[in-house]
Amino acid sequence: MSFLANLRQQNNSEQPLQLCYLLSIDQQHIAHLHLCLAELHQARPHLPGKPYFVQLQHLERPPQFLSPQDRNILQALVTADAEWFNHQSGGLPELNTWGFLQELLATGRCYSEYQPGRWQLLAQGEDCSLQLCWLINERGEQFLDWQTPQSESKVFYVSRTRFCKPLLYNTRDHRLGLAITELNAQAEKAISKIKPLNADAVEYFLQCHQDDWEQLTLPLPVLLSCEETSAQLIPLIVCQSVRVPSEPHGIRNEIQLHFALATEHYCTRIEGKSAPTYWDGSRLHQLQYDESEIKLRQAEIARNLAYFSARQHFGEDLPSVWYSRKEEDWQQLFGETIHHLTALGANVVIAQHFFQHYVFADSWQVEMQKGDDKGVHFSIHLSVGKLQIDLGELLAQLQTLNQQLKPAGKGKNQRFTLPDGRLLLIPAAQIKSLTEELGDLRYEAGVGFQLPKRELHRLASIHHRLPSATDWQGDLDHLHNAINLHQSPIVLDSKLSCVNAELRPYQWLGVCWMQHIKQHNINGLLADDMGLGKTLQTLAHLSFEHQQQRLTHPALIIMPTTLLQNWAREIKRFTPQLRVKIIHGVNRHQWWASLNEYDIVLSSYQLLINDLEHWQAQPLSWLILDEAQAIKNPRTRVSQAVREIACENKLCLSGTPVENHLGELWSILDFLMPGCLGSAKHFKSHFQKPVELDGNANRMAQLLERIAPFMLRRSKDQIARDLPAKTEIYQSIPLNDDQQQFYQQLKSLCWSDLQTQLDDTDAPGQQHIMVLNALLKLRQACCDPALLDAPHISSAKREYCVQMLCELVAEKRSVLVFSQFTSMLELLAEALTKENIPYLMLTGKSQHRQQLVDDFQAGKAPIFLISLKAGGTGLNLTHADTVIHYDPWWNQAAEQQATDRAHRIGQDKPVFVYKLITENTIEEKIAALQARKAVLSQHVNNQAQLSGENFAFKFEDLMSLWQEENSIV
Amino acid sequence: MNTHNPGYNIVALNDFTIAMVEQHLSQQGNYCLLDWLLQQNRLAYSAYEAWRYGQIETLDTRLGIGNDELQNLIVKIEQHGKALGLVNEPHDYFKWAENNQKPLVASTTVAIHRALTQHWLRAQDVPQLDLFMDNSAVICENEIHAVLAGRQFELAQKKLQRLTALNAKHPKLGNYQDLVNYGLHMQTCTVVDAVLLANEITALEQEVLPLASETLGASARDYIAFAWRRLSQSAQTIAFDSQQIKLHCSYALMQIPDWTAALGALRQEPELFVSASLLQRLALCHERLQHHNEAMIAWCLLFECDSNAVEAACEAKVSPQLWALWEDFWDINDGGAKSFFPAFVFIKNPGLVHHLHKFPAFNTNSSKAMIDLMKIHIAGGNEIDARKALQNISPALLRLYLNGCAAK
Repeated sequence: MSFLANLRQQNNSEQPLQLCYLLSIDQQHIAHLHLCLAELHQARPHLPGKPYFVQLQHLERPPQFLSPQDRNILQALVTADAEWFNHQSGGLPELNTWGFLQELLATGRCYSEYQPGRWQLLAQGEDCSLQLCWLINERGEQFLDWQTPQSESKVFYVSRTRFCKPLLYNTRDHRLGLAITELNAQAEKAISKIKPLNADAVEYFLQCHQDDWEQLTLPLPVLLSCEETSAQLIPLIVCQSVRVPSEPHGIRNEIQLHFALATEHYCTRIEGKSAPTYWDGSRLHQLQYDESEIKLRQAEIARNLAYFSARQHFGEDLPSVWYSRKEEDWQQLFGETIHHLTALGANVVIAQHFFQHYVFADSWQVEMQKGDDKGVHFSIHLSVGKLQIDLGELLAQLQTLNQQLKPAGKGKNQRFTLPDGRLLLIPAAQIKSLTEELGDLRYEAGVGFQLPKRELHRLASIHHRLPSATDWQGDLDHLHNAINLHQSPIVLDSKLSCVNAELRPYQWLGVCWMQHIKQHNINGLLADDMGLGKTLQTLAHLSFEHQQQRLTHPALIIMPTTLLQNWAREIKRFTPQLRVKIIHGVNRHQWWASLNEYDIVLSSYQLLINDLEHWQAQPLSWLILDEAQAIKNPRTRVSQAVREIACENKLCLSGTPVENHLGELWSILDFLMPGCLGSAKHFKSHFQKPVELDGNANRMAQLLERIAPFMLRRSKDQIARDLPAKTEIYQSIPLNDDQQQFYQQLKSLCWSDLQTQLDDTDAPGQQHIMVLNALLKLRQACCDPALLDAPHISSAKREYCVQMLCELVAEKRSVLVFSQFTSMLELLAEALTKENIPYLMLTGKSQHRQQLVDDFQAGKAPIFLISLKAGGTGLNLTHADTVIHYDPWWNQAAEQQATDRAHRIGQDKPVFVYKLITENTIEEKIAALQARKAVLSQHVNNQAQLSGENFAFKFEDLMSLWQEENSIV
Repeated sequence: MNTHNPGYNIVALNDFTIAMVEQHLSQQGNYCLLDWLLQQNRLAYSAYEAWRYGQIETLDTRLGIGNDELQNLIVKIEQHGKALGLVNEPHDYFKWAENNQKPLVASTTVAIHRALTQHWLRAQDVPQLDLFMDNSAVICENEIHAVLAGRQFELAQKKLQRLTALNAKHPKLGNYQDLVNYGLHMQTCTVVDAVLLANEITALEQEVLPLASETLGASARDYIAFAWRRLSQSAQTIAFDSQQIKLHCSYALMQIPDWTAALGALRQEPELFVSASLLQRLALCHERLQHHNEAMIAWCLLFECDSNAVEAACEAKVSPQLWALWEDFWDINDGGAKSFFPAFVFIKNPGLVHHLHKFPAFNTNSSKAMIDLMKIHIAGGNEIDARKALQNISPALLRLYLNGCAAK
């Protein structure tokens, strides 16, 4: 034995899975073996487990769940029949079958399903002698069979050769035994093809075989006397599952029509043309009936089963067998047709092990109990006739059996096995939907489901998922509240808007949504895509509150420091009636006492921690977090600090509430509505892991449904019709401290140099170039000090741009980034590489331009970095829906044309154009001058504008830029 | 004689080429500077092990490469990676312990840490972090690789049970089980009885090693190293036996490879200079530790002892320098006696004479005569008698000497 094999044998570690052998015997008395891996519960396997498929590699190097015994057994199976490879069920070996079975039984893991879902361990019984004898059945037929010593013993075979190598299964003590027979080969051959003999055939049989059989010491049938008896005709609708190898799973479900004849003492089916016979133990009766009545009844029944596939027996005009693979047909049979058939006097007989005996729930009831501090209890029941079934137990049944939910679809049903063996059908979509909704709730038999107080809004979802006719009883206040919350917000008259801007319909809807959640006393997250106007909607909402005199205390808006000025500017522009104060900088402490005089107060996340005590003491009507992903990690100080501020209402704004994982969304919503998604641990196990690790799309849908009342998110595509063809956004960015210092020093230096140079020359052309050169340095400093060989100085604009690109890519936007500096594009490219964001770059040096364009148009990269000259005429980049001008252009016509790369004819999407301008720098001056020039440009030929930079700015213009710039030093 | 491990030639950093990145990539599936330094013995495996166990905080002081050289190497890797169209992925290394949440820091310099640990992959091999596509069984299997490499065998057993529950059809379940069993065996039976050692070495080489390589791929290195370490510790007290040469602990240490420890073990072995197999190990250890002069003398001593072994080593290009000298020797000495090779080596590397005090004396006449002559030459003495003695042995050798050393 090899070293590793030896270790394998010594390994006694606990194995939670066990290979089990499931033996079944079909109606033809043939044995089949199924392999399964079952989990152990209290040292007993939980059957039927998961199927195990025999692997060649496992026979060579076995996993822990395969013992040496198992390897021998599996090896014997595959040796006997190579079909066993990669299969989990099949026949037993025909050679040395009993030896093989003994090995199976010796494992102590060989089971038989004696009732559906009930498994019994099989053991080895004693050998037993069998004798052949002729038996007479109630029809008077005589047949040859083995006479078993006990009535519970069942003979079975491994091959289909009749009477060959019989084995015994004792159904009482579940033991298998070897059957000993004393037949010689001649006798075996004689009986191998023998069939049951009806009364007419016995005489002929004796004539042919009596002598031979007596010589072989085989028993002989006897002649029976017969008399005629009249009987009543009854149609029998027999529903049964028959083994048909060509059918899927080897089973065909069918309806067979038979006719029975009933007398006072006996009832039998009519089979064949001859009159049925009845053996009463001493005499044979021949039953009489009318053939034409059979035809009449058969035609009526066939009409009722017309939606099944039908088959008639050879030589007959009318069908007598109906079958279908469609569950729907069987549902219709048991739902509707069965009533018509019984009205015709037919008896419906359900054969044993028939798989399609369906029943439906007659009604649903929900009992709501009075709530307490922890939440409410409720139970859901459904009725099938007199049977009351607890839905919680049905769902537990699904879980215990590890049963997969059926795919939801029209007409598809989930099946449950009732204690009486019938199959309860519940629409799959409904049960799936209920499982998803109720799956994480605590359930206790007899008590029902427990819904925590913070999750009472889920009652609306539960109500929505139950049949509309469900009878709700008990305390229904919470239900009504939850239903109201889930309804769409009432769209107010947009004339009530009091902002200096015309809100787009979706923006006004956003305002109405904020009003809606406030009325229901909950808080929300506005998660619209970047550029859709979250700021404007918030301001419109606050001004509406102000107008309604509900803004009794200031609204505090927390944001990243870089956005403070933007917000202040937007408030002044759109809602000048609102008094605003920025709480920032070292002098901010003077304002604490007078904060109540303001409608809106702005501060940053960074200062929030330092000023927490002040904010805790300040009454606030609203606490609004812009870029709320700042609190995505609940353990950070900022996350904890915002939770410690008391306020009447909360609102979060974020275009990317989920940047890395769903836990971030939990953190934001837990801030807004503590406990609404359960604890972080529960959220992780119930939503985050299934969605992120297992790709559970249903759980994702459930999460979205659950957060629906608290979150409003519109992507750009969803509201594309509401958007203008082109939206220009001027994005102002403050320089970082070190960059500001660098910029100021550079400006002083350049100005003094420029003055000296200008004094030294009188040539206007040269002066022009000198000023342009000096301005160029300042523009580069605004873009990124690294362009001026100062990589150690940070670049606020680059940081902002990269962050913005990350968010845009997450929103699946396609972005063109224009810059006049190719080295700037390289810096951006480097940053994108670090973020693992694919990009394409087109500069003057690029070859195969068309290939690059084609790649971008084909969506091979979401970002296309383009330099000014490269972005000239001829490029068609309609795949893009977002344009970023990293630096302001001298020539507005050229900038316009660059934008038009995306906004060309053929573009079917709205385009967002962002202009990134650093605050209080030369870029602002250029942009302002450009705006002034824009008026002039309307009167000038477009091509003439494009002809050169000089057109746009004369020397005086450039000098005025310098002078303006220096005035703020 | 086993010379298989490792089969890589030490590369001068100036010769670091794009082809090496490609070669490493094709062998490992990715290129990682840390792995390459280990392979090149610029980072001792024992230091790497100590780092993975959290015994040392960073690798900064353990890298056998100067800062400038390292910076150049990082630049070259970036260039080669880009030229090959590779994608670099940050890769966290975790402590080999149950509680291993925090990634280890390879260097206090962020850029060096990143360069050391990041993996360069072909774009198509980059794992896709698709939230909705990742397969739980694949994730579980990757975790099994990690914990087996991290020598956490009980945890590996648990993870294997999970993999079994997720996919009982997985063809490698048995392979993983055997590796877990062997791991648990190593943990339970930390010291191997001397009687069983030979059997354990055979089992490791013939059963475990092929199985681990096939099953774990790149992660096999750390799994196997642990096994060799255990055997080397058990072999420490066993004296060298020429009939069972693998039982000497230097053998197991070289398989790890822990060249420093192997050299130490060899140095303590009284039989070192009389056994060809030990001499060959000595030469290899010096070779890998970049002790070029000592390595060359050891090869020469081995040549006296077993010239075929040196020939085989030359053919296998175990040492590029040795191989070059061998080629050179036959170019110049076509048809001459093979036994003059050590003398030839001394002619080509006169500086070796200064390192002879660490080794026993040479036995062959040609070597002895050459060394004597060179010592006199270096001391500025009268070479006439010594030259005569050499001429008596081989006029050709004397000519070579006169054209070589003496001409300088």
